[in-house]
Amino acid sequence: MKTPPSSYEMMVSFADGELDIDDRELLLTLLDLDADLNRQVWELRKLKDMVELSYQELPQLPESIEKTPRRATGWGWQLATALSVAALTFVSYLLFVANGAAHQAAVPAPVAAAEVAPTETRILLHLTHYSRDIADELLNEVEYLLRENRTPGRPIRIEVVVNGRGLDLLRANVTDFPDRIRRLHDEFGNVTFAACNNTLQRLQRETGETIVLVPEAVIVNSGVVEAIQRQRQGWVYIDV
Amino acid sequence: MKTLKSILMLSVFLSGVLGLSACNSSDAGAQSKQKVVYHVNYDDPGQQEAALRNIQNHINAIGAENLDLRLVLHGKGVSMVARAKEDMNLQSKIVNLKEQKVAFKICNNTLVGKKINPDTDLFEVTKDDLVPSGVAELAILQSQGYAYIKP
Repeated sequence: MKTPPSSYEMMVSFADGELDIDDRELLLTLLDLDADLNRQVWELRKLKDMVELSYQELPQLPESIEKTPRRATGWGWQLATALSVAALTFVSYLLFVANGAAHQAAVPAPVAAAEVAPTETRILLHLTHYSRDIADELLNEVEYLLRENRTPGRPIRIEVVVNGRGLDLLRANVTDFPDRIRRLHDEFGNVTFAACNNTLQRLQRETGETIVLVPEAVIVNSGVVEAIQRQRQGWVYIDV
Repeated sequence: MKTLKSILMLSVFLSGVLGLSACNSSDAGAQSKQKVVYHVNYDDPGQQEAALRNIQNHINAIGAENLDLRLVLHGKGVSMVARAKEDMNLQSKIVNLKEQKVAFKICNNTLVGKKINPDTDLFEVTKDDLVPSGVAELAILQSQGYAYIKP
C-alpha cells in the first residue's frame, strides 16, 4: 500500500467497499481516532448512495424495511402488502363483473386505497436535529394531521425520517417521548417512524455502544436517500 | 448534512427556476408564474432575517410579477411577526415584501397552542393570513405545484 491511509483515494475506496481487509482495518482504526476523517468518509458514503440512486430506474421501497429485525414491523409490512394485493385483486374482480358487492370490500379496501389512491396525501417529515421542543412540536403536528384526516375519503400517510442528531427521537433511552410514539403508532396505522442506518452504524462505532431504538422504528439504509426517494414517489417533503 | 440539505433545496429551487424560464419562453401570462413556498419554523432572529433576505433576492432575480410566493410561519417561526410588533426595522421588511405580493401564512394551531392572540400579539396578521395548520398548508401548496424552500 503506497498511498497514505488517510488519503482521499483511500476514503473513496473505503466508501465504495473496495479496500482489502488489512487496509480496511487500518482505516477503521483511523476513523475511530479522527472525528473529522470519520465525517468525511460518511459524507462520501452518502454521496455514493445518492449517485446510485440517480441511476436507479424505478423508485422502490428501501430493502432494509424487509431486513428490519423487528418482528412486529416486519409483520405489519407483510400484512399490508398481502392485504393490498388481495384487495386490489378483489377490486379488479368487482370492476370486471360489475356487481353490487362493493360493501363486502369494506375491510381490505382502505389498505388498497392507501397504496394506490392518487388523492392520498403523503407527507414526509425529515428531522435532522433534536431537542425536546422540536420533538414535541413534530409529534403534535403528526397527531393533528392524523386526526384531521381520519374521516373516510381523506386518506393520509405520514413518514417521519430521522438521521443525524434527529435519530435521538427514536432512540429508546434518549427520546423524551417513547410513550407518545407508541401511542401514535398503535392508534394510527398510517404513520411510520424511519431511522437512518448510516447514522445508527456511525453512532455505534463512535460510542462503542449498541444503539437501541424504540420498537416502533423501522430502519432505512439512508435517511437522505429515503427523503429523495419519497419525493420522487410524489410525497410532500417538509424539513422539520 | 447541512450541505446536503442545501443541495436538495437548491435543486428544488433550480428546477423551479428552469421550469419558469421554460414557461416564459412560450407564454408570459399569469399561468407562467413561478410558485414557491418558503418555510420558517425557527425563532433565531438572524436566521429569520436571512430568510426574508433570501425572499427579497428571489424576487429581485425573477421579478415580483412572475412570482406567486408564500411564506408559511409555524411553530417557533411565528416569533417573526411577534417580534415585528416592537421592531420597526423588521416591520418595514415585512411590509416591503407584502407590497411585492408575498403572502404571509400563519399557523393557527401554533397560535392556539402558544395562546397567542393574532389581533394584539402579532404585527399585521388578519384572519385571511391564518391557516389551520402550517404543515398541512405546506402539504397542500406542494401538491398544487409550489416548490418548497426552507432557507
